[in-house]
Amino acid sequence: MKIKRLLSTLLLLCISLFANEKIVFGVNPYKSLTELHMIHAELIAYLEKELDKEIVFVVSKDYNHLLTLIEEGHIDIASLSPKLFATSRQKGMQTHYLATFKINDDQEHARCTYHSLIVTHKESSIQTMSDLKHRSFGFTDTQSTSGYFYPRLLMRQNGIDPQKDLGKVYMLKKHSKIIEAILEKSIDAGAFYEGTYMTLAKEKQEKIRILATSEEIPYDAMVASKRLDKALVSKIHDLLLKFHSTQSKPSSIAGFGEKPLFLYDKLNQLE
Amino acid sequence: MKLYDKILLLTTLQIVAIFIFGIYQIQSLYLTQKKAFDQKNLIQIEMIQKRFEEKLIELQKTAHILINSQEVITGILSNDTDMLYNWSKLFLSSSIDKIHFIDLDGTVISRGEAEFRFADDISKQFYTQQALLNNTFLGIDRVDGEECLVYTERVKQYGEKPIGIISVALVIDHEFLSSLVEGTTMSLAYQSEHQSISTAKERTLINASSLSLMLQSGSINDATFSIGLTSEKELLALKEARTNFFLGIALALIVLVIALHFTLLKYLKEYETLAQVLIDFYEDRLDIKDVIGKIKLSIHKQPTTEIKKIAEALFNMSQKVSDTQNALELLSSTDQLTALANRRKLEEYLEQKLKESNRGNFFSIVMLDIDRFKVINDTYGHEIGDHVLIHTANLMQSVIRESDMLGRWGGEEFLLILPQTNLEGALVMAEQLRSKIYHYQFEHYPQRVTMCLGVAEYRVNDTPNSILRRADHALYRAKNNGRNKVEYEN
Repeated sequence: MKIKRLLSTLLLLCISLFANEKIVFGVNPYKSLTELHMIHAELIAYLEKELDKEIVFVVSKDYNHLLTLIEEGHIDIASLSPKLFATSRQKGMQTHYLATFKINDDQEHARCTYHSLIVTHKESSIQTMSDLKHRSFGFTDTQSTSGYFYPRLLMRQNGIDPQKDLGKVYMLKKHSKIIEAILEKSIDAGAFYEGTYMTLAKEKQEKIRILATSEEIPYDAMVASKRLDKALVSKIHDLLLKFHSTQSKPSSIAGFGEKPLFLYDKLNQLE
Repeated sequence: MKLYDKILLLTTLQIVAIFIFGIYQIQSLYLTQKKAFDQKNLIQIEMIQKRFEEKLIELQKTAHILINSQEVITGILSNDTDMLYNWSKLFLSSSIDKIHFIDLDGTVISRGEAEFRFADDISKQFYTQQALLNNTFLGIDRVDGEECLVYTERVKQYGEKPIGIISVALVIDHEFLSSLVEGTTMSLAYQSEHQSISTAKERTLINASSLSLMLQSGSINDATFSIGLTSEKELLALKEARTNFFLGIALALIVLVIALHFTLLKYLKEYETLAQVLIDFYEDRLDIKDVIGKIKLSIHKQPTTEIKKIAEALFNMSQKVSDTQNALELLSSTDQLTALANRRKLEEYLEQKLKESNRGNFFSIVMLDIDRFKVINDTYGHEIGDHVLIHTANLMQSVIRESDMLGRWGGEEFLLILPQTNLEGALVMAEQLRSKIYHYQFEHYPQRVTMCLGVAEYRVNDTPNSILRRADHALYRAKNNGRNKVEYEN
């Protein structure tokens, strides 16, 4: 499936090179392709209508790959995970910050920040963070803010060295996969962003025990390639801030807001 | 040998020869078909063997592709369950049911067939241990509780440093066995210490043989793949067709021989009957009258025109022969003038009566002589004499009984033989004759005609001469006593 996705991405990129009227929109592979399509469908439709341009939706192979695609000019606008955005800024990558996603929480409140959670199966003997020692653990991606960096920070804050104290460590990429793997008891514990938890069915939520919750993390940042026309960047910026989703279900895109960039930059301090 | 037998035998021999040739042909055809059937089975077995080997090759090929993927190596190194899952999912097919990525501790990093099931320890599995010890393993082992054809190989970074294991497995189930025998008439069965499955409904396979497999010995004991026919339906149908042909031929042979028999009977019997009649005639078992009678009878029964014509021709020919014979016989025994029996005929009849008298029959004879016949001839001529003789004969003939025989003994002398008649009866008859002649008015002779009659009765040990002599003596006495008299010799 990855290869298929890659090929489709490349195909779309090729198309985009020869079609100026198209805007290529890239996202991180934090969910399955179908889920990502569903999440972004309304936004894409909105932009297409307002800009009168076709939006080509691209999911990168992995987190870092999205940066490469932006750098190489294959992607015009992108949704970057907070840590990835911070990393890109640290690397001095020339992008325009457009806006920060607002996501609906389970109370139907649109929020620009979220939390990372460390969870385990309710039937597990792990009761506290300290019980994670020598237990298998599932992260999403080494570039994921809520699926890797914050959980590691939480571990360190609880006296666990994620490098040494954990048992087997697995990279599951998708946040939902962490949940399923825990429910399947393939891994003892895992980390993901709270939106995943919010969208879970009640009975599944009841099978999960939350061990730790991180501080507030700004949601993904929408950025534009430096190669994109400034007027167009400005127009997209305005359009994003005007966007208000008709959906209100948990974890769906509610709209966009502007956040100070230092909130992202401080994520660079995470290991 | 009879014509019927000859034709039946010769024709039957030819028919039998034709049928033997037919049977030989059918048997040859059967053997050819049987050979083709065996050959087909052999080809199918080879095909299934080949398919099996292809499955094993497919397992190894898939494992090698994955092992040589840098992303897979990276995935194993980083325990990237998701990436490994995505990669393995691409290779799962009808030939590959399970793809597992295992670390060097024997812990599953990812399962292609179960996205969320991993991180379990399978280090105790035979195939894992074999891969860790010997680099590869190709054999039968239990993978996640299912008996599988499993290929396991160690994954090495830069071709040197072992980083994990890839196991590629194909579940040995009914579906797998069916895929191997698909499109063939063969059945495949798998038997091990734990399970027994087969594509055949019946437990036992016909002409079963084992598939030749180059598999390493695994933890599963007594694992064998047997291939054979589920049923010999095709061969049985062939045999049945042959038997039916043979039975059909035998039946046809019997029917043909019976039909031939009846045809020959129908058409040859009449020929044979006619021929037999002629043979019997030739060998004097039949006289011409019998021949005529038999042919006449057969004419009405003739089924065919041809035989009917022959029979009619034979009948006409026989009739002509008979007529000629009758004419000759009549000529030889009849007096030409009076149309009465001649002397020879009278002598034969007398002989006959004498023979019959020996068996108890009796008879009498009357010797008759026209008185003074020489005077008639001399006075009126021979024509009138003949006229008198003819009419006298006719008159006498009209008087006597049918069983009596009257003949011309010579000149104007006649002899009358009276069977079953004693002397008295003979005398009565003689007197009737005398009277009849005496009172008869001849047309061309104006005078009365008288006759002398000498009667003699048969005596034991009489000979023709003795009885004739007595009759003659009686006649002589009648002549001497004045003529126109009946005398007898007692």
